[in-house]
Amino acid sequence: MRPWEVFSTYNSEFLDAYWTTIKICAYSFLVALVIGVVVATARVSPVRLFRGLASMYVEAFRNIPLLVLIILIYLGLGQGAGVSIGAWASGVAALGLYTAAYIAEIIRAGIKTVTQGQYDAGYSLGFSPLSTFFRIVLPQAVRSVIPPFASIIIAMIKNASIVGASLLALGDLLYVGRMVSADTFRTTEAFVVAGLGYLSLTIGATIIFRYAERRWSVVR
Amino acid sequence: MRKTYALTSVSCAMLLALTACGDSDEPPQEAPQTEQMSEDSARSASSDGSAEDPEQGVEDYPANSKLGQIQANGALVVGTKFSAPPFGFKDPNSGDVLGFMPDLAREMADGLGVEVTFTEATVDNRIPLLQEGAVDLSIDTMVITCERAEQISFSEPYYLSQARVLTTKDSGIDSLDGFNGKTVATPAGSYMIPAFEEAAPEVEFRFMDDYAQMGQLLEQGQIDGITTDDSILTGLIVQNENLHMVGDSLGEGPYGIGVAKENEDLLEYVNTEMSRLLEDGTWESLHDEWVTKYTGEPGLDPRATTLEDALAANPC
Repeated sequence: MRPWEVFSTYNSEFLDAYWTTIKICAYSFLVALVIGVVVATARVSPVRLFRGLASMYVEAFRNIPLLVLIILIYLGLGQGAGVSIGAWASGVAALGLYTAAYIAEIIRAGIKTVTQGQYDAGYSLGFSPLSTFFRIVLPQAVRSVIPPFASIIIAMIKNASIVGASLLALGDLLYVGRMVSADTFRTTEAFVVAGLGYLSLTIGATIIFRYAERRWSVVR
Repeated sequence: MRKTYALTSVSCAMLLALTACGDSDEPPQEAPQTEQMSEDSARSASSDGSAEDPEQGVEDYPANSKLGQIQANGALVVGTKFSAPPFGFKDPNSGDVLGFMPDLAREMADGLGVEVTFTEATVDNRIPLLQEGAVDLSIDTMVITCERAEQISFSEPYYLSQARVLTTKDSGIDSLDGFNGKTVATPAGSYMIPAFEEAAPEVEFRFMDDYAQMGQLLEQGQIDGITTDDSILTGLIVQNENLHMVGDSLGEGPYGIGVAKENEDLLEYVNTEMSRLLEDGTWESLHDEWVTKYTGEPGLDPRATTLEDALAANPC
């Protein structure tokens, strides 16, 4: 059996799985982006408490393996706090919070590249410190870190496989690849199909970020 | 007391998935380990008696036979599970190897007037251990298959494992068709899936590999059932008595005792001993003591299937 025969036999399963992987990535990306920006902002805040909390967040979520986070959120919340948020929410939370820690560091690095002159210019034009940060500094910061940002998003797409195929069993590409492999004993073929699915997503993301880089990147 | 041991051992075994056990000299499954049973720690009193006095009722085998070598060594070396309670597990406190299978091995050693030395058997090492002569027998929940029978010899079945479904006692589900519209966890590719789907067409499977995690999800109500061999499900009941097995068997896997191909006299001895244990009620009382205690179900007489049937049912 060739990979395309495995695919043609199980095409609806694989297409569902492909869509599931896209959904895991999309939701996690939104969570990661919002929390990443908030944490990055807090890390450069003049308020010491915010800086401390943000740095604790980064160290906690960046330094714990994703699979451990998934198990802790999915099983641990249920056992410790008595609240089960379900497999989907657990997976998106784990991947989103994990990726957010990296995004926060990347954006913080970008903020550091914005020179003091930009702040001074903002203040002298009458912007408040907060709007100077959000309207002048942060947009420039983000534009200068598009390449590392692309790397972490590609890593996130691949990490979605850990979320989908773990005990959460969300039915993503890797999960269906394993299921098809167990059903047909065509392990290589099933994983070639799954691998091509991930490749199309990561290459798609690469193209989008390359365009974004050409369009918006600031070179200093 | 034994229950406490079993519980500790189970939780310890379950934890192995995440972390090594507290017992620092007990590495996780990769490294097979050997545990010499001291006289006090051997559970069955009769083994001590006969070990000390081999003259009494114990036949002496010729020195050039395998059985004679075992008697000369003074110990029967047995591969068994160290983390599959209540079938075979190592008590983390005392270091004793306990369970249904180790006790069957102790009975076999008694007949030779020797002690038992246990070695941890894993799915990967159990056949090599036999072939290298590192163990004499392997009693380790090994299903009789034709592929394995090409590498080692099997005894007649000593246990008939059945694929069953585990659920919580308060789930209200008492038969297979009760799982219609419910979620059941099992490893991908499990052999009972087609039979299950026939009995409950609307059942939804979630494929995962770690039984401890499945047990916890079941406890938390995030899944409704777990399906696999009853020997594994019994281990989950040991850990949580609010779980029980429901519905009919979804398939059978006869377990055989593995013996190296060349040790024909040992194989014959094992078969003779096993039929004695089945006839005189020892098998049943050990099964009751270790398994029925948790499942509430009597053991299936393994004589219902012969080695020949088992091999014919799974041709290569």
